[in-house]
Parts: sequence; C-alpha cells; structure tokens
Amino acid sequence: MSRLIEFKNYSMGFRDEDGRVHNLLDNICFSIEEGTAVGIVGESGCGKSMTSLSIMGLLPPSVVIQGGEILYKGTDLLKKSKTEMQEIRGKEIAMIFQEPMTALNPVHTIGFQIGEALKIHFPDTSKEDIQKAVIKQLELVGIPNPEARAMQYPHQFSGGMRQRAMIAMALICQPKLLIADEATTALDVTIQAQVLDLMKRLKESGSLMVVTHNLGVVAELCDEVVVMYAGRVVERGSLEAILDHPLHPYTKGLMAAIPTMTSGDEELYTIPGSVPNIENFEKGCRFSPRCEYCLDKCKDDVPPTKQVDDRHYVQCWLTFDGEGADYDNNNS
Amino acid sequence: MTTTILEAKKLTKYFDLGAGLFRPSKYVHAVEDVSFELYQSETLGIVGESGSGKSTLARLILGLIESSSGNVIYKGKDITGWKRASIHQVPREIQMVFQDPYASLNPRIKIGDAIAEPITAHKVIKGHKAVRLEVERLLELVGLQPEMYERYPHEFSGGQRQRVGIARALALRPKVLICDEAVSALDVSVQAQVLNLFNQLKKQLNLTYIFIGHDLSVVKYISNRIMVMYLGEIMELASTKELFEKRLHPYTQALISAVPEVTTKPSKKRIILEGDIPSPVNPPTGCRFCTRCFKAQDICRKQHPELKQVMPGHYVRCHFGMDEEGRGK
Amino acid sequence: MGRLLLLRTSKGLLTIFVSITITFFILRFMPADPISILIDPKMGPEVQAQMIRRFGLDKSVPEQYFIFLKGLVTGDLGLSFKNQQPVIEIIMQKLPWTLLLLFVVVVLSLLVGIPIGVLAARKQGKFADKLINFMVTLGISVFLPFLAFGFLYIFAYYFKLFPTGGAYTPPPKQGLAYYLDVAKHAVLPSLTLFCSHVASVVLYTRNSMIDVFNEDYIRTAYSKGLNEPMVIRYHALKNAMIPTITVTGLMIGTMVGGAVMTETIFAWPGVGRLIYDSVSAMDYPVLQGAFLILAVSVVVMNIITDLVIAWLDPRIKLGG
Repeated sequence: MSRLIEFKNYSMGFRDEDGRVHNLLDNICFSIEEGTAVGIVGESGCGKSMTSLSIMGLLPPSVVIQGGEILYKGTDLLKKSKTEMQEIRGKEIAMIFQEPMTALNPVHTIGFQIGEALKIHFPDTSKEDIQKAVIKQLELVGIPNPEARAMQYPHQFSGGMRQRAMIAMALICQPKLLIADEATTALDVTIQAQVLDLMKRLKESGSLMVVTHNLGVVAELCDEVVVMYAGRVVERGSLEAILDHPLHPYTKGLMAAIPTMTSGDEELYTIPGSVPNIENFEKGCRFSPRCEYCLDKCKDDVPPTKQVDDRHYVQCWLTFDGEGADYDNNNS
Repeated sequence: MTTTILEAKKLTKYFDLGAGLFRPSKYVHAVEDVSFELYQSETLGIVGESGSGKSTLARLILGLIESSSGNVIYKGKDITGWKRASIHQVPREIQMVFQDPYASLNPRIKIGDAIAEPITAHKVIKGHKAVRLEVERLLELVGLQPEMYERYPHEFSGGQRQRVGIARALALRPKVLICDEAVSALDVSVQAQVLNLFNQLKKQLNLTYIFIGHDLSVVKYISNRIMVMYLGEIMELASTKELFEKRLHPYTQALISAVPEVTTKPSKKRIILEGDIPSPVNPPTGCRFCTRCFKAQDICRKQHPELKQVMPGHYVRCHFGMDEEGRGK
Repeated sequence: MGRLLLLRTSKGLLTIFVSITITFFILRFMPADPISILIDPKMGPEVQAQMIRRFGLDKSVPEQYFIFLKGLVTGDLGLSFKNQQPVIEIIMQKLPWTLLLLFVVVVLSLLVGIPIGVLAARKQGKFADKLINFMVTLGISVFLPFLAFGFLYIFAYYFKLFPTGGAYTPPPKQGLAYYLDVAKHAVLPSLTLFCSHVASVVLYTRNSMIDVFNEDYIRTAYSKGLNEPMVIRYHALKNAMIPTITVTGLMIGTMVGGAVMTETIFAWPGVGRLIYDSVSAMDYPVLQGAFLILAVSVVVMNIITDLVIAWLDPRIKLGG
C-alpha cells in the first residue's frame, strides 16, 4: 500500500481582529493509504472540517498555517501554487459537503454542474462525451431517469437526490481521494441509509476520508479512525482498535456517552463540562479539564503520542499496555 | 395502574397552501387522524423523518396552532384551541423545550430574566425577591450555578443553553414537558448530560414527557413507549421493548435497520428503502408508505389501512401487520 | 408563462388607471385657474367661450374625467393648453430624446458598475473596497442639480469642451455631423445621471456579490478546481445579478418619466423638461400625458424585470 495523504506535524490557527493568532490544529499526524477509508471523528470545533479544507487548500482567509506538511503522493500540498492546486482539486481530490440544499448552485442545471469538473480538467472532451459521462455518473449514483434529471435544477431534487448528485459531481473525474464532510448528517435516517449504501459501493474505486461526528457512520464505512479533540489527534488506529479497545479517556467517554440501539435504560456515562472554545484551550492536554484521570502534568505539558499497537496511537500521559517508547512524531 | 394525563383524539391538521388564481386550494396533510393517550409519568417518544408531522403534532397539543379537527383532552378537560378561550388555566401545565436553545433566547436579555419571564407573566410568584429566588432554584435544578442569573446567552455553551431552555420550561411547574428535538443540536458528549438531566428531572418532579426526535437510538433510550410516524400518520405505537422486538410495521423495520451502529460486528442485513419520502401535499393513496414499502401488495395501493390494536397496547397501521408470521405474505 | 403575463398585465393596467385618475383629480383641484392662462384677455367674449368649450372646461369635473377616459381608450390625450397641439404628438417628439439619454446612462452604468461592484466585493474590507465605498456614498448622496451645475461650470464654461445645453446646435446638421453634435450635447446630462445611477449599481452588485461569495455552492465550485475568474463568471455573477437587475428596472421605469431636474438644467428636450415646462404653464393635458407615460413605463419595466429575473433564477416558476 502506498501513502496517498500524509499529515506531518501540521499546525494551523486563526488570526483574530486584533492580529493575534489562535492555534487550532496542533501537530496533526495521520495518513491515508491508497484504497482505504479513514474516518475523522470529533465534536464541534475539534478542527475536523479544517483538516479536510486544508487538504483542498480552501481555508478561509483568516487562517494562518503554522507549520508542518500535508503530503499528497509525496509532495507537499502546502507548497503548491494556486494553479497547481486547481489542477488537483476536483481531479485528484474531490469533496462533498454537508448541506445538499445549499452546496449546489440554484441557477444551473444538475447536468451542467456535474459536467463542469470534466470540462475544466479535460478541456478536449467534446460536449457529447461530457453529456454521456454526466448521465453515466447519474446512473451510477442511482438517480432514475438520468437524461431528464440532468436537465433539471437543484430545487427540483429532494435532499437525498441532491446528495447523490453531489457524489456524482465529485466522482466524475475519478479522483484518487474523496472527502465526505458530514455528507449524510442533514439527511433523514432512511435516506442516509441509501447514501451510506451508495458510498460503501463506490469506496472500492479510490480512497475515502469521512469527516463526521457520528461514530455509527464511521463504523459503517471506515477501515481506520482518527479521533480529534480540540484541534489535536488524541487517538487513531484501525476501526477495531478504536471501537473495541479505545484507550484515550476521551474516546472511551465518547463511546460510553452515546445511547445505542443495544443500550439499556441505565444512566448514560457523561463527560463533564463542554467542548472548549479556541480562545480557552488548555496549555497542556486540551482534554484535561474534563478528564477524570487528569494528572498534574496533563495540565501543563502536551502529552506525547504513543504507539500502543501496530497502527494504534494515543496522545495521552497515561500508561497503556503494549506501549512502546514514545512515538516520534517525525517518522510515522 | 396507569392513568391517562393527556389524550389526543383524531387530531388533524391541514395547512392551506392557498388557492392560486387559476387553481384550487392545496393542503399539506401535516397531521392526519392522530389519536393516542399519554400516561402519567411516562415518556412517550415520537420518531419520524421529515414530513412526518411530529413537530406539528407537538404544536397542536400546545395549542400554538389551531387544529383542523380533533381534540386534545388534558386531565379530562378539552383544551383544544385553549389559546383563545382561557390563557390562564390549563396550558401552563404543558410546556415545551425547543431544539435550538440559542434561537429561543433573546441575546439581550439576561438568562435569569428570561427564566423569570413566564413566572412574572403568569403571576405565579409575586415580589421581585421571591421571583429571583425561584429562578435561582430552577438554575440549580437544571445543574447550573445560581450566579449565572446575570449572564447573557452568548456566554453559555450549547449544553448550558439547553439547560436554560429546560429551566424556563420548568418555571411554571408543568406536569407535561414536550421536548422537540431537544438534544439534536448538541455535541455527543453534551447530549448524554442533557438526556440524564431529563431522566433525573422526571423522577424528581414526577414529570411526563413527550420526546420528539429523529435519532432512533436517543428516542429508544429515553422512552417507555414509542410512536412511529410517517407522513402525518401513526404507523406503529407500542412499548419501546415490544416495538424493537416485534417491529411489526415494515417502516419501523426499515427505520430501525437504517441506523448506523457503533460496532465492528458485521452489520446485519440492512433494509434500504427505495426512493424519497413523498410530499405531504400529495400523500400516496392507499397506505401512505406503499410507495417505498418493500412488502407492498395491490391492496396497499388501493385501500387505506386502519390503525389496529394487534396486541394489548400495540397498534399497527398495516394490512399485514397482524403478527410476525402473517406479514407480507 | 402566458398566464403570469396576463395576470401581471391586468395588475399593471389597474395600476396605470389608478395613477392617472389620481393625477387627473390632483390637477383639477389645484388652486390655480388654467383658464386665465389659456385665454388672452384681448380675445372677444365669444372667442373666449369657444375656447373654454373646446377644451371642455365648461363641463363639471366628473364629466371632464369621463371625456378624458374616453379619449384615452381611443388614444386621444387631448390638446395642449399652451400651443393647442395634440398631447400625444408633443410627447412622441420628446420621448425619443429621453430614451436616448436613458439608454446611454443605463448601458454605461451596468457596464461600469458591475465590474467595479465585483472588484469591491473581491477586495472586501481592503483599500480598494473602502475607496469604492467612499465614491459610492458620494454618488448616492450628492444633490444632482449641484453636480449638474458643477459639470456645466467645469466642462462647458471653464474648459469649453461641451455645449451648455440643448440636444443639438440649431439648425440641425446633416448625416454624421448631426449625430456627433447630438453626442457632444448628450455627454454632460448623461454624465450627471450616470454618476448617481452607477453608484447604486455598484452598491447592489457589491453587496449581493459578498452574499453570494459566502454561499456553499461557491465553495463547491472551488472544490471542483475552478479558478477565481471562472467561479465569478459561472457561479457568482448570475446569482448576484438579481438585486442589480431589480434596481436597474426601477431606475429605467422612473427615468422615462424624465430626469426632470437634469433635463431642465441642460435644456435637454426630453419628457422631464416637458413636465417642468408644463407645470409652469399649468398645461394639464400635457402633464396628464407625461404622467401616463411614466406610469406605463414603470409597469412595463416591472414586468420586464420579473421576466429577466425568472430567466436568471429557475426557482421562480412562471405561471405558478
């Protein structure tokens, strides 16, 4: 397996109105192998969306990149020029967003919007070929009557259909990586099941990065999981490692706090307090104010990232079974 | 022995979309012929997807909107459309907690004053000092510090704001609390806190809940009984345990199997429904679920099934919902 | 589509009817006596009576109103009090001049205003945007006659680049020389009107562009690999044009009735100047005609604007 995307000590923050920079993503390290599906999970403000936008190079203007690299097939995306990034976006790496209602332009037909990426990245394609490709894509994502549907506008599509159209749009140039940012969150449960099913079928064609707050969606789609909290990767590993043997107190708490279809009516485990704001991140471990195992050094010093198993890493001061030497951030 | 505290009798709500110059009036069939009983001290969960009418139902019960037909009976009294009749009698015993605590709080009003508002408006407690003490008691009740009286909504996190919303709903000492998607906007780690708070308050204050949600696992966790709605109609109503064990209605089956579970076990065979939820403006004839049902027969498209009691306390609206064996043959 | 047009047209006709009715009665109830202007005291009493009869002024106001309406249906707007010419002829003489001015101003405002608005939106909060905003505020708040006199002083009087008034130098020249002469005369009045109109075009374009830039579909467009000019051209402009089109429509509608002050200052022989002259002459039939033109143009422009917006935005269903 070769590495498609690799985050190496990537840090970024926001510049506020007074010119001060607040760090959000801090030393992010993880990688996406070719042909795998990686889930990025976390709650609001954990930086999971900023992580995906960083790959796309679509960060808001107030963002300051503070260091590190994002390697795509070995070259740093952060060093690429505007035009080089335009070449990659939509062709090599594509993205689908949360709100199917607003992510499509209301004044253009679905067909136009799907074919657009093909037109830019392969300018020699004839109009007929683009039309054929659009219809093939619509069929692929399970939209009935694609010829007529391609001529329609977004407001004539239901939410689920729009999200399918978004997927068709993202996949038309057959990208190496598809990023799905909360792609099913706004959908109804039975419609979400349809879209998840579709994504599961399409995932063979490339790598997938699923950004979500829903661990169920991750369990459904992903091979590996990256758990983020307040801008840091607190734990990452295979799906089995994270769901069946979570180690970080946050991951454990998160799993225990979710009512599942099998849980009884005993009181839910709760993580005290609430998710911190970027302005009041803790100096040491950012989870420490809510952690029941918090030690003195947790408050002051950033915990080390430890390798506990083949591909299982935890960023915590606690000691775990199977823990090797502190994992060196520079050779993941 | 269960006593009925609130009862909906054939509640129906059509929203008039208005007639055009050259076309007849169109109606949204938001809630159609919904009857159920709410028992004292229970939590009745209502699940459904968009267009199911679950939020409209809540507003009908509260009298926030007028029903097209049907009645709401509270403790034996007909309170349908109470708003026009007598604002000071029954309704304060039924209160509502909304989804978005931020949108329902005025950003320029101190949260203490926001909680005090219903108390002073209904003159439950008189005297400035007594009201303040009462608000502080409420703040403590929902797990906030009394000192937070002076703060403004923007100083609170999502979970704290929802606690404020609950405190405000509790200010009139209601007997019934209707929670409309009350935890949907919250982060996972905070959602558990609020769910626990609901359960704790229920015991402490002997409350009865109607808990409306789209997240089946949350509704299952908190409810004693669950009502499954689809396009304005009750599809199945049973105790939580029985609903999940028997799942008589095909829609209930599909809904339960559609929830992505947090597990590494190979996932069970999932029922994936075809197509989209039809518009409540033109609901399908026959069974409303027939366009997406994987067991639909000819009769389903022609004849509208009635809500039948198939077992004590277990209601199903399906031509084939009699028992597990009898389905879909 | 046809149904909507029918509906809009009938609503429009009603609007026009109400507006001319109001105009008619306001004019009748003004505390001034048109007869005194119409009649030369040197005329004999018989001639006087004949004149009064000819203009229908001997009849009661409601009667005059019905005569007016009857004439309206047959396209007869009556005779001017002042020079006894048919009103319709007078207006048809003046209208082309106003339309010429209007066309130049609207085309220039859109051509110049939209790119500047887009630029300001792209540079939001930066120096260029602040400068543009300052100019726009100036353009919107300036008192037009003041601007007109300023231009007259600088370009016509001081530099003597352009004529001080009129639409051409009499006697009219032939062929190309005539058009050049008219163009030269049109520069200053167009420039004056342009200054205020371009400001609103810039303002509306800028604000709606900023709104559109924050839309999710713009992010989607970038994520497909489009560059900024393409995103603006294919995904932002069309959506952002809707408010700009609306103000332009309103602007055109009211301008047909004449930019009264500007046309008067530059002695431009358009409808605006006609209104000014007729007010001072208490020439009611002409005023009624001018206001009719104004009402019709506002209504027509509204319908056209709706059609253009429906064409731009597929969510607006025609005939729905």
